[in-house]
Amino acid sequence: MRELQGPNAGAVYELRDLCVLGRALDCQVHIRDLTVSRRHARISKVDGRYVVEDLGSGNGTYVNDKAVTRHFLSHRDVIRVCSARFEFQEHEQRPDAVTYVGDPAAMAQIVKRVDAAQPLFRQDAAALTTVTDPKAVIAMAERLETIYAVSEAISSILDLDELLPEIVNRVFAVFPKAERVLLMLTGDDGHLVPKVVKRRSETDDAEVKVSQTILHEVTTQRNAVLSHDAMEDQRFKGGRSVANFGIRAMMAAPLVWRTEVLGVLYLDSFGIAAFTQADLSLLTGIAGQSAGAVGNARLHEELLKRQRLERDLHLAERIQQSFLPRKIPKVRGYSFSARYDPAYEVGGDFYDFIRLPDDRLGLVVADVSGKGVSAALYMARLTRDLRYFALAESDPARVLGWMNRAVIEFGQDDMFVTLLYAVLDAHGRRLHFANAGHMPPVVRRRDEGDVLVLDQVSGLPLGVLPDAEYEADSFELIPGDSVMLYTDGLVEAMSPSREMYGMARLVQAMASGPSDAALLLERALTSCRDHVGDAPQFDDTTVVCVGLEHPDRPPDAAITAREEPPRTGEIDLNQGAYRSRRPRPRTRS
Amino acid sequence: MLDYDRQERGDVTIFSLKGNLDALTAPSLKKEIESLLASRKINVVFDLAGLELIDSSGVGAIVSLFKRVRTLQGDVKIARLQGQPAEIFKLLRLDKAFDIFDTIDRAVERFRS
Repeated sequence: MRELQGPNAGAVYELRDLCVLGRALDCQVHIRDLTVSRRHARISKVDGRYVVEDLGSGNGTYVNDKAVTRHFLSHRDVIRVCSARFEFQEHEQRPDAVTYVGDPAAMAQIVKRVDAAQPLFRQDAAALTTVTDPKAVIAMAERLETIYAVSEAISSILDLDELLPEIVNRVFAVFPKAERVLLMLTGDDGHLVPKVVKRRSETDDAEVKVSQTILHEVTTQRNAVLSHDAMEDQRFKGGRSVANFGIRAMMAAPLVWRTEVLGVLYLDSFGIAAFTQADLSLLTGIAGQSAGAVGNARLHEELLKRQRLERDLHLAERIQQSFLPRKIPKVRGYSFSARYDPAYEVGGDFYDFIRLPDDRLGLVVADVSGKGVSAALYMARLTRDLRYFALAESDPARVLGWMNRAVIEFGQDDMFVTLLYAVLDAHGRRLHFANAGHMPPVVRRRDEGDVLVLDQVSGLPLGVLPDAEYEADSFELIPGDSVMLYTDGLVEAMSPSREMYGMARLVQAMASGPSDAALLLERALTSCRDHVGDAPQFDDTTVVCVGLEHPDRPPDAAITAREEPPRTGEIDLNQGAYRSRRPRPRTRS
Repeated sequence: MLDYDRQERGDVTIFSLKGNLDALTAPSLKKEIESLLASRKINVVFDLAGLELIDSSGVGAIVSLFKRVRTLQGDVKIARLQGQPAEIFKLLRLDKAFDIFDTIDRAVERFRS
């Protein structure tokens, strides 16, 4: 699908099984236009055909200037979403309509080979000076000229999405007898992935069947081959070409760049005589030039990706820093402490303190799967949602139930969140908590000297199952008790000999530790650091500690107003979450 | 490194994973999952006998497939969970969401019943 008009005019989108068009950043086709709904429309594949559906957008979705709610797309249909227009291109971009067939040797008969490392056109160039037959000279010169023209047309295109169709278009023009041209690229796993298919006939919708034997020879021997191929082909069943019933000619040439086979150019036609040795030589030359262009475009893409990644990481870090609490709450009779240690990459940990009515304080420790900007932005959103829910509902289990639905509705399939939500009832000296697949809280009972791991109640991580249910638990705090909430980065920290820090060591460190939250936290982190030594760590570590002070004194549990954390001034993503006025709880229908 | 083997048994697809499923290897599994969904295969068994290590990106890839096939009335079953991945599944309470079986046959059988 090509964007004809809009913020990314000229862009070509490869349609997969699902593609959402909208203003939201995570849409596959992101349209920066305020009149576009966040999730405006989607294109999905139904029984091998693409269908566009409006997702209840504000301004509607149009196909060929008619408003549609659901419409099966045909080649060259124009989809309009507000000011952006897209052309749907079925014939030129049907990389899925290719199958690789394993064939008995008799079916695909290779009749000519050219060593792609020593293609004829190079010999042509050398021979031009010695050959005297004017016809041969003209033919050679024309061939070189064609290769040069193709090279010139493609060598400056750095965008792969633009380059690949252009290569195919050129090959199509150079070989008028080619019925179908297919460009495959070698994927990360070493398999050939069809990228662009172009067909001569508008009515041709048969699958392109490519012989594995031939591809094997092309990619491993690096030969360009010309083959006659008698595979059964449904196009011939209608008797369209009786003379050449069931017989095709095909050529395939490897895209060799430096030492790598980047892909294969394949074309086929009706009838044995469609291609000649000279054609094969020409194709080999074009494939060589194409390989150079693809190689350059890839390098360019990698460079851009790396730059983007660096920018992303930097931005993610700033986002994350901007919404972690800057101030530790003050509650008379209690001590609090919190630490966030990022690994060398920005990870998905966060923690929060939420002031609640009736001398209660919400404590959150969570880990979002995934890293980078999307995870960081998502955390910002989660903290905001959780603050709303926490104010509206006092039962931590129900708060997690709401959070779970919020994560599911966000619709990022591979994202999930482990989260521990606890509510400290400062006056009643109880901690109520619910756990969504997170590390269990650990309590140190000072008087009894034991350390308890509270892992009786734990449910699924948020965002896995829409109807996940959570259970709440609570326990009484006795003066001198301390509670530690933490992420898996703490217990899974690896020593140089790849041994985890583990629960046992944490429990041991806590058993002998002080009851003041800050001191205990420091004790746990020091014990972990001693274990880890200088081994590199890949996961963030977050620890939140609460201590009920000892000696016993009547808890005057007024939570003093927490200072508003300073903003960075650069990023203001979760405005509202830090407002001192109480946000209105969001009601959900 | 992650190796996977994909097998079809009737309308059930069996993915046997070998090696590490982590931030580095999860994208290639995701690609495989895309092609699976594109061909409307919605009953999947993950055979994890050879899986040595899984991290949150790896769990994310499996969870993602799980969520998507369930919306299409399919399911994901886990077979031969062991070692570190078993610990992670337990820690994340994923045993509450996934049916876990000792053998591939039993997992496949469950789709039939």
